[in-house]
Amino acid sequence: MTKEEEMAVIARVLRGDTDAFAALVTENQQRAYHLAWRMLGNEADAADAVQDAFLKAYTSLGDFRGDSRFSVWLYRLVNNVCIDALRRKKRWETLPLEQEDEEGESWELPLADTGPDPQELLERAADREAVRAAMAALPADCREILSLREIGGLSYDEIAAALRLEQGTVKSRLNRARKKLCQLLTKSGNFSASGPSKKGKEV
Amino acid sequence: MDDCRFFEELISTSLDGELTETEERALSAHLQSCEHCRAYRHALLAITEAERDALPPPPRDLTENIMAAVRKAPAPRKKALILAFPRRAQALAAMAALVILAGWAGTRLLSPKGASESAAAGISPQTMRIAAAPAAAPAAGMEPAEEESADNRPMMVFDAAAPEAAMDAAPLPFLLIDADGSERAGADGSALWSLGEPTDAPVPERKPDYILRDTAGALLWQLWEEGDSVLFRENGDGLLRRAEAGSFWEALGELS
Ligand SMILES: [Zn+2]
Repeated sequence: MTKEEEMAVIARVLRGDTDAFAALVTENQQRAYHLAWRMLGNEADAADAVQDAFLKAYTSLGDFRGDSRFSVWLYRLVNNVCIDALRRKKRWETLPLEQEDEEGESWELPLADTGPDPQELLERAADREAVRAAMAALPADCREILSLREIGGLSYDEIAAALRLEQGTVKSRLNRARKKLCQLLTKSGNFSASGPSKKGKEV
Repeated sequence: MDDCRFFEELISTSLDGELTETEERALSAHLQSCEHCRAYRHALLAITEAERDALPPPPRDLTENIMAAVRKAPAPRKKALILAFPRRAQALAAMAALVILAGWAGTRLLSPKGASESAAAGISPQTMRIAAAPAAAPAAGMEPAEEESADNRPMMVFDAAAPEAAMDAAPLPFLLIDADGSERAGADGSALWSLGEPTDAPVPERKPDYILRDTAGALLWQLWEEGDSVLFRENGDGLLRRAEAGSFWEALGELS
């Protein structure tokens, strides 16, 4: 859907054509669902969160000024709904969201001295499950930013606006998230293509 | 030895297609000579691919469920503020209703410019009805001042001091976003409703110098700096207000 089509649909909804909203739903629901699933870790909660976010988008559609893509605005709502849901579940305390220390992370990239050759095993089906588990084990802020980037397809500018971060922080946090994911996968031993070669010891 | 930590971040950024040309050249030169970084890049690519594979398909009835919920919801309105801050809703709705009712009565008194602005802001009769409903029992201190609306000043129907007293004292956390997109947070923006005076000045044609959002991401106010004053208007209602810059920023409190 082009930006113009999007704005035309929104105008119709605001004039009272509720069913026109379905076009925005079908266009954006898959990514929104995947975002929520990443954040919440299960399918039922993700479906609820997406429904909630679309409902919020609908009732506050008059606030949408078209200064970003509708999807970006929606993902922000999804994100907020998910954070609320996590809070309600009291899992929040265990999720270090407020880490300000982008540089001072103390963990090291793991070095797989005898890991399998990534080239050979790239397509292993178990990788999917391993990634799923590692994702769930990531801190919430890492999952959040990875999801916005890789599922939502947001640019760094858009991520910076959505998460209220500096551009530099977006870069470093994305790298931190990926590195951490890489580390978790190497540790689990279930992922074929993780971990740098032994030559990386000096890092 | 090259700083691999630095290049790891570039590798991550390269996956997102956000490298500058210089960075790109530096990275590819480094990758030629560094096995560690080549492996890291390879691992990240593999992980990204597996991540995508791992995503579950959305439930089949997702669209239907969403639309069923949407059809039961109240219609969207311009004054989403009322939804966003339910504890303030009554006072705000009463205030909006007074403004609108006065605006109604005073429409022909407004300059043609003012009238077309509120039309442009999309205040429909339906919005007015919604906003006017709770006004049956206006909050204390917000009685319309009849003389004033008769005095061609429809926007000053309530005592400037009254909104503060009438409103719930709940703070309104906000974000102030400048034209570069950098954001600062403030603890309480509720003073905005009682700041400054309505003005007949034209709404600046340039993009706002700042926008002020509530923390849920809704756009609430647009701000322009003009000399020693700040022009600002609440999103959707188009009523431009002017306040002296010093007192405006002071009223918004400390920003972080
Ligand atoms: Zn290197």
